[in-house]
Amino acid sequence: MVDQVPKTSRGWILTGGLIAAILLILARLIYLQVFQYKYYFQMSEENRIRVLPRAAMRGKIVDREGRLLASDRPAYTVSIIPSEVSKIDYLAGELAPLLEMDEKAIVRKVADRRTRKYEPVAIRRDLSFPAVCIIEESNELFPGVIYQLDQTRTYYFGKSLCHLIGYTGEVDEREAKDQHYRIGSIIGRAGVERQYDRSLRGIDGIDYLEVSATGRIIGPLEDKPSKDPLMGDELALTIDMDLQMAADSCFGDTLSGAAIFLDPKTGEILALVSKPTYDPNLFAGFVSRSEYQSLAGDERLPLFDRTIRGTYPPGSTAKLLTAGAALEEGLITPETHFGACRGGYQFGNRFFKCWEKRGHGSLGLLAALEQSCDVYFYQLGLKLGLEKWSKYARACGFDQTTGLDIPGEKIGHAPDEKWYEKTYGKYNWNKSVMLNLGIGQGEFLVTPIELAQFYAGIVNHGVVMKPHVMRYLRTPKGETNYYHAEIARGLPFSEETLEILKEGLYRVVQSGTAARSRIPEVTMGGKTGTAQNPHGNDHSWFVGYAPALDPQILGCVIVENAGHGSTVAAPFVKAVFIKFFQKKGIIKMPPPPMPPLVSSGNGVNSAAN
Amino acid sequence: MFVAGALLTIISILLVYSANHNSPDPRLQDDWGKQIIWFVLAAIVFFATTAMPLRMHEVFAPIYYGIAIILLLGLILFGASMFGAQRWYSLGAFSIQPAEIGKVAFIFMLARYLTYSRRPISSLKKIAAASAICGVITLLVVRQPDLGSAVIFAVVFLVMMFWEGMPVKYLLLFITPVASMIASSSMIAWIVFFALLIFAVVPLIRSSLAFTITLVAINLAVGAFSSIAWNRLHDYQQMRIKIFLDPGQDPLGAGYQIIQSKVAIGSGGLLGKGYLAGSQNKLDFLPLRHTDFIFSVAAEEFGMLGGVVIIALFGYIFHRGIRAAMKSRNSFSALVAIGATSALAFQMLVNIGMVLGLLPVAGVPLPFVSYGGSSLLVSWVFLGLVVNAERNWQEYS
Repeated sequence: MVDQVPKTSRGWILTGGLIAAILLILARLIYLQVFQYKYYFQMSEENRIRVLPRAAMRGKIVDREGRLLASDRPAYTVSIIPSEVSKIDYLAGELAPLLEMDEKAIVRKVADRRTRKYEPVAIRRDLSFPAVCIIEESNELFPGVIYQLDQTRTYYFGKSLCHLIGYTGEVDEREAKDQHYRIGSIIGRAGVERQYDRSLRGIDGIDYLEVSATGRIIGPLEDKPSKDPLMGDELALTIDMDLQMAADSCFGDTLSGAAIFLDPKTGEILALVSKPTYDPNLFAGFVSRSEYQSLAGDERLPLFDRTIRGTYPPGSTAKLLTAGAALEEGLITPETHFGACRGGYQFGNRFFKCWEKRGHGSLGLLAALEQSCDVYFYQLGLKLGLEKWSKYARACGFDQTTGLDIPGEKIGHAPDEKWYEKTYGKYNWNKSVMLNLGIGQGEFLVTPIELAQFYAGIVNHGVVMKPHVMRYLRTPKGETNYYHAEIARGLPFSEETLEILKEGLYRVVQSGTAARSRIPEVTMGGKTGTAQNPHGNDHSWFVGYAPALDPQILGCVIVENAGHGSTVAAPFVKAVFIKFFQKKGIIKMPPPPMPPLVSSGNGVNSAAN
Repeated sequence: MFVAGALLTIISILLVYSANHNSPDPRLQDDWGKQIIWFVLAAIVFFATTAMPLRMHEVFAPIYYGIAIILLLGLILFGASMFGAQRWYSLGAFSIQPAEIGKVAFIFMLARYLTYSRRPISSLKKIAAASAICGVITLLVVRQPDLGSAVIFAVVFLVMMFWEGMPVKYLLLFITPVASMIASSSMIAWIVFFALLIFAVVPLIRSSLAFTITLVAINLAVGAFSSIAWNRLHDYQQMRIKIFLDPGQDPLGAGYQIIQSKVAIGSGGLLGKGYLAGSQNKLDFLPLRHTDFIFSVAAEEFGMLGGVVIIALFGYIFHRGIRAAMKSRNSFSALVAIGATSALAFQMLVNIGMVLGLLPVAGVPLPFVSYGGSSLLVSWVFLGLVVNAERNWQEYS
């Protein structure tokens, strides 16, 4: 090796390198223009090179026991390649009846594509086989129209999982540019379909085809090999479909609300229900404008995910927060008694009622929780004060999202002094707000998932886990990535405080407001709530867990406009708990229904005639 | 020289007209007119460049370089975004591309430094300082992101250092880690690469053992690190990097362009389809045909004859450029001439190589011919510098 090239040679070395490079280019030019001339000339004459994306199969979604919840099924998609169509209005007129679509909708879809006009624009998904046959037979009539065997998303438990799983839609031009996704490919739009889209979507394949001038496919292009699509990952949820169905059926078709069941030790969501529901299969094909508008305009708000976006006053379920904060601050002991409840509490010139008109008398903390006495908590709230209350509300996580792996989560509202001053002006509010906040009314709002997470922390020794619905993702090769349980935060309560609170929760179900929802085989704890609603009847809350000493499941249910927590929400939680412990073998399955006594043979019954 | 440049520019105006005169976008239809205005400006700049003493640029080089850096930094804040990258300053109907200005400033600055510094070229300190001059501006360009221009800076740097007499073993220090990184994508390629590397450094062992060990160690580290880093990335992240490095990977975008470009060129044949008669060109099959893919329009309409003429004109310019550098008695002008020539040559090779499907699609314009004011002006400035160095070859520094 030469250490330094002599000066005179350097110019010649550069010249030599340049000449070599130019010769290479000339050789390539000659190869293309002389030796391959015929091939390329013919191609430019016919000029039909088709670049057809082949959509990857979207990964399937299963529940914790492997039951199939969502998967792709084969379906025909009809597309138009804009660069091959000259008279789109005429073509749309011919196609409209066949595709059962509006003529203008077809024209609009093609016109919307401003760039990459050589890529097909999907016009109609999930077309019937006879219609596809007609298109195939008469393809001379429809230049630039192609059909492909594609996939359509199918949701097997459509309505009972719609908010959780979400739905898919087509990538538009802006998204294609920002995220390097192919225009018209399928993307998750809501729920876990959106959250785990990157894993579920897989990688599209691509076909380079040579096509004759009349649109017949001649074969694959010689100098560009096709790529096969790669299927997306399988997503397993922590949801148990048995519990999901049980929770869903409690609401029936008429009630609105939300139900969350989770494992407080890990944060795994076992069931997540928001009612009313819609059918996500509508979004899988092409949802028509009128169908979508009727869904979006429905005053019961079926599209609205109440579990993570609904904000409600927590009602009496928030008394745990007031009690915990006061205990922690050393303001009370479980034995502290306040002024006796005579059905209400006089504060200034206002009388604040207790739900029990007859009054509870003078109670200690545990009895006040058990009976959910409002008067006790009015006084406790006043003693605690707004500053400390809001400090604890924030520390308990009521000012942040829970970290659930479903997009779109909202934060409730835990007001503090600053907020009151800003909203009402410095002197236009007074300490009486604490009376309301102390019992979970007024300006205090929570989402059901926030409340569930708070209670899960209380029963899990103050350790608050991140709730999650993803159990694992499995690649087509079989590599499995499990969700690692994460701690979201710790509650600001000592072990002693937590023990007292749990004792209170246990008594609520043993002998208090939720005594009617007791399960003989399993000890349970919980708290009822009745949230006053300025727009209508009260909302019914119940948060419960079981077994009381070693909680394996925690349920949080709100039923809108349904009245008292003990009468509606608590029995819902009980029903799901029974299902849960039946599956565990702790509660015996009910005996199967008796076989019909009427028989065709000559048994006892016929003899009775 | 003026004639060669003028011929290329006139070809450019004809091709831009052919490519865009019936474009559906009315703004593009007037591009050929704009290109004429740019040509007039470019001619003025060319004569100014040939007349101005090179010594003056030698004095002002740090100022040029500073301005270029400021413009590139400003781009991060105020640049107009086009095709997802910030490369332009928008000034009404025209736009300015600071990376082009940066090429000229960089050549002056590096030439000045190499001429002024009294250290021998084999000194590591000198090489490090020169690398810093190149590194700062290259990083700013990569940031845009404009990988094509960044590679040009790197190549011009290496050619100028080679010209100044940097020992070949140091050239290896720059080139081999890049090769190692690329080769590390496949185990076999990496083993072959290392076999070649070790074979190449064997003669060095006796004279400078420490250097040899460093070189091999750097290559091992780069290769191992990049393959580990690569495997830790998600599929979609890998895909993005692949598309960034080689847009041809994006099968519907650049992959399609390459096919259509090859069809255009191949179907041109020996003599072409005739001016304004290219079917690929007319039917809107060729995206970016008036800028990056203009050579395919030429090859379709004027055939191999047209292509060879364009390449021959370039060849003539390069020949004169290298000759000027060899003849010059002044180290600064020789370096400027070789820098300008290598910038033109490398862009031309990368652009035509891409259009012919030999190289990945990188947004590098064809000097003189691609539509675009900044590129045209700077091509002519380079030409002017070469002519200037050629004329004043007797001047000693």
